Amino acid sequence: MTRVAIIGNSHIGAYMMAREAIEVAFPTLELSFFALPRHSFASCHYDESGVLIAREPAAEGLPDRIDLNEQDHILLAGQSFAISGLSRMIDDFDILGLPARGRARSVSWALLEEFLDFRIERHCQKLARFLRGDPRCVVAPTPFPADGAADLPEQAAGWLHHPAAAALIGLWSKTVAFHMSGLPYGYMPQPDHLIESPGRSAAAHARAAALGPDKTPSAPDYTHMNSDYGFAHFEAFARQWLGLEPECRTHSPRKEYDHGLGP
Amino acid sequence: MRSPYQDLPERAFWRSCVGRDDDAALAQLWAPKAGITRQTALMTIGSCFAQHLHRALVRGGWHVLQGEDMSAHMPTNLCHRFGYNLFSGRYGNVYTARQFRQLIEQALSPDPVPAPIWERQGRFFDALRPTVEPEGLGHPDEVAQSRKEHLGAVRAVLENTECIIVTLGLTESWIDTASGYALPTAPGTVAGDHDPACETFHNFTHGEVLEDLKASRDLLRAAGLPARFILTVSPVPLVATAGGDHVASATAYSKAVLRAVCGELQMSDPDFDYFPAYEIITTTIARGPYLDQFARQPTDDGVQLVLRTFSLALGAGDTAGKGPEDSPAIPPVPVPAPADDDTICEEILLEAFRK
Repeated sequence: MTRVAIIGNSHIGAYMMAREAIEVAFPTLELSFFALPRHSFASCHYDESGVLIAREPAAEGLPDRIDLNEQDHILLAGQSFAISGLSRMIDDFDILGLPARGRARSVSWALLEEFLDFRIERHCQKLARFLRGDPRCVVAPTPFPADGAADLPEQAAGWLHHPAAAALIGLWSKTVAFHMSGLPYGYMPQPDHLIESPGRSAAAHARAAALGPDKTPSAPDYTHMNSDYGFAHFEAFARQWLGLEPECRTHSPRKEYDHGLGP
Repeated sequence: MRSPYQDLPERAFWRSCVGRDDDAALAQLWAPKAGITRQTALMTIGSCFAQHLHRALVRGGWHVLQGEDMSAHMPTNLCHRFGYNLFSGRYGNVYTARQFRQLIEQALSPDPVPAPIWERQGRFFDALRPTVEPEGLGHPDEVAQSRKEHLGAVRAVLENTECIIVTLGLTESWIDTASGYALPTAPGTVAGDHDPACETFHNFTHGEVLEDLKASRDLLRAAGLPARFILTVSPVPLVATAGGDHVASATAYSKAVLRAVCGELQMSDPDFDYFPAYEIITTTIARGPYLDQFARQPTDDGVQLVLRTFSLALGAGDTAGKGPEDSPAIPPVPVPAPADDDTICEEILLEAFRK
């Protein structure tokens, strides 16, 4: 068996919900999960023996440690790469050279470039320290919010309604790729087939799409993906980084998760 | 026999004052015309020494207005690289009294004469503050838009300030022929090209500097703005002179003119006061001079001593702490927390684990 740890923040929920489908499609894999409390690198201690331990009590039901020594591969999912900083900048300012949106102040594209460069480099430095440059690790960014996230606070994904979203997300993506190229980790940007439009995931992949008719989706249900996304993303990970093809996939992982249907 | 000097205070005598940096001596270096507390809204502007003053005042807990604050978004070094948070506005170095006057004119005017725009390798620069965008902007329209927003921010600062601390740095300047604006630096230094037909060298006289400062005050009064002025002279010498004289003589001329104007206004006009930062840094009066190895930049110790003197003379205690009579510093604007939905989303994760 090949052992794969999926660690990160709340976004690992999508893979957990797809776990059964993943294990059926990839029967040679054995999955483990670990969520960092508050998704803070500082909330965990990676000891010399290779065990990642939460420094603070984990929420009830969540493991408080994972032995990464036992793992063959590590998927570190849900990394923000300072995208909230991009969001805040374009929420508070117009960008000179891009279509104006009526903000009282503008900043230059050059400033935005340097700002993102600074923030993303700093994030990558923290990443490098966190798992001590472990080459088993592949890092995936937080999935883009899904289409339909109308009630998402503007500051959380300010590019969604920006007419130059492609340019803004393009700059962010390029900067992340540049800084990740300097680390010994693998880097797995959100696959193209899981992107609806620049900086936006497909509505069908949001948790909101998987909620029952009696439930009203809230903002996190558009920023967090469902088991279909979890499976599709993991499938892309397995193909690219593990060299594995899925052996079967007959049902929607979401339906399996929701209704207990086996493949 | 009576002498007019016999009843004068200690501060009037060189021997009793020189070479002392104790609190009592420093407090005597300046007799402010009007009180300033840590709640007085201050505006800083001027040459590069004004950056030192601005930083020291902010650190010392004084209420320094910030018209184009970027500190909630970016680290200090990046703010400074793009001209933010160096002074009360993003105007870059304002070396001459003429620049100061024209900035006020532009900020208060509904339709100011457009500033010249320089070009360098396809990038465009605001010639009146060419360093605030180190890489320039992509189109002249962007420069104009940025300047328009800047002037709005400067106007807001002028409307809110009670006291403007102006640090005068130079008398030498280049004048853009078309607009008549005094430039902060010669074309061809940061961007643009020097063309003798388009800009001329000018070395301001005592009378011109005096007139510019009075006109600055008159512009504010005409707009109903009550700010008074504290003048200082930058101790930083000229990097270079275009006047044909030796740079040392040119520096002496500039500083002498500026210092004389400050003295005259201090003596004759209630709206203007003079704070002796120049003397503290460049002379032995407070155990100085406080200049770096190249005799250009003031040392950190010197800048701290300047602010200590400022605080002590105002009865506001030392810069590091606050005197017992102090009012509390104006609290900084709270920095909003970055958008982060992880707290909410722990619930989502728990749900996935429970399944």
